[in-house]
Amino acid sequence: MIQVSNLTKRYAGFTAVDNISFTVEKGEIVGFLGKNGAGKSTTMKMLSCFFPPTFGSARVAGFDCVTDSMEVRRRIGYMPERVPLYEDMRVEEYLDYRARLRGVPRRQRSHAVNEVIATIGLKEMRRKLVGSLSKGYRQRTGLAEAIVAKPELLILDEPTAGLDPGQIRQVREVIKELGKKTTLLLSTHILSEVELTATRILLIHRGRIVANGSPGSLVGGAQGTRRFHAEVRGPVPMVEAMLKGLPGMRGMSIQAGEEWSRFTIDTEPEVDLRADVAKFVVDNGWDLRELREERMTLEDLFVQITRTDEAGAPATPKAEA
Amino acid sequence: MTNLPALTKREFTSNFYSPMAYVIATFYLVFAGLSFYILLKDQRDANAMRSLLTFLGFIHTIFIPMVTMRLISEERKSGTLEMLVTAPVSDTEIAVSKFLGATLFTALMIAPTVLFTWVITKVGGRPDYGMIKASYLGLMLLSMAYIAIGLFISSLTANQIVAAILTFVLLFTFYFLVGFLTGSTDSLPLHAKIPWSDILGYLHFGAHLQSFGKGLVDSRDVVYFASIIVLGLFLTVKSLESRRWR
Repeated sequence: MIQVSNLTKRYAGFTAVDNISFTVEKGEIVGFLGKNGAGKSTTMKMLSCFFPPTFGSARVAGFDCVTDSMEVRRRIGYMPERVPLYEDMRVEEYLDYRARLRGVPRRQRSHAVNEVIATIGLKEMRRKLVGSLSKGYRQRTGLAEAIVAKPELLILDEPTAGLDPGQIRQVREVIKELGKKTTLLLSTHILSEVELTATRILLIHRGRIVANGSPGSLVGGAQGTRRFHAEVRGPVPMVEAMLKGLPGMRGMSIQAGEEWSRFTIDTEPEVDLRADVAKFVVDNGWDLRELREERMTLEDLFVQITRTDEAGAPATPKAEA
Repeated sequence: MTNLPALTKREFTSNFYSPMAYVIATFYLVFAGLSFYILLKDQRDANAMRSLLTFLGFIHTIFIPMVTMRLISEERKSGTLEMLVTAPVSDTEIAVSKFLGATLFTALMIAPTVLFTWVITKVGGRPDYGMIKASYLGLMLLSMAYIAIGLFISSLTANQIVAAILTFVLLFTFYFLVGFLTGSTDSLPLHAKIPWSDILGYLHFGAHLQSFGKGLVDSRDVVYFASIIVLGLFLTVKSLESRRWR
């Protein structure tokens, strides 16, 4: 559905998107992750034909976003981050107008508008002026506008930005439903949201794709090591020596306290040394207060990748789904 | 151009959602009415109508920028331009629909002044309908040229006030200053002829309105206004397209 190849966008003295390539297959829900200013919106604006790339190409459904822009625009539904709407129109009137511009035939328009109003949950608001809507309903109206012409591809830029937790949940449910019928590219910087909705993640940082894969494969691939935490009351040098002697050890850090000391142990991915640690501590007559494995989250991965890159090391692409 | 009717309808009706349009139209009518009253006291015949329409051509340099200032700059500022250009709508359709929307609104704003002709008959005057029709045609063509220029200026900035001031300065220059410098206007003394005054004189708006006021529809004047309209629309389309070059 989307083929992006060496896509680059440069403004005066600044590269917003730097030579990125990726594809999105029909029916996928792809989460486009990144910090503010990472290049998510710029990429989406190029895909929605708002402006062209400086270099490279973007194709949607086989059509080039620059040379066949009109064909691309007929096939996409786009919701920009700010959700710009005509404040002076009524919700129903606005959706009808946009459906008309998007080529929905006159006879089907009324049905298309009614259907989208029911799907998005705008029934009570259909006669209200867009300018009088709350943030949540504005967001829904933007979403309704994006899907009213039943596009093949939906591009949603931060669809839950600025919403309260209840509204986020509602919009997320709508997005999940939409994902069953159409291909979806969804940008966000809320990681939990993308974990819940996306089947694949593209992580963009400083204009470059630094990770591409399913949430599970990305976290698993990035982990590489397993990490355990143990809180032990006993002589620190002896505990340290005991832990270092365990098979599969990769590294350890210690936070020594007056009574209890915390040991953070990194091991080979296949090693689980919790049983060994518990046995050793008990056999030596020491006390054990906590013993747990740390599971890496998407958030940890995100922080790890972006921090590594900020420290100067080049960000390398991770697992391909 | 399949989207043109929908876009034009939206553009025209959007005027009535804003109090600004009502304020502009009210002030315009009050101003036109007062001017007509003063002219009628002076000349109790059809000339009052001709003088009024010529005078309105000048007054439109103030009113048209107020109509055109929001056309694109408001969409740029609110972000709705992004929604418009990412829909399957061409830049030409956008420019032409905005031009037509503003033209229809201006025609509606001018329309009540037709009643002044009836007033002339009531005070014993005998209106020359041919001359009045030609004057209205001239006024509309002039206004459309103003709108095309205002539309282009509005596409350059997201600030409506800047758009209005720039349009006014440009229209005022071509209506008043060029006429003043080249002496191509009847109402002003020939102060100084400047180099290229013949060329500048051709660009003077007022000079091209004069024959309409005499009841003559000169094809040269029609071509002149049509050229400005086409140029304004062309520049607007190029200005909208410029997002692709940046």
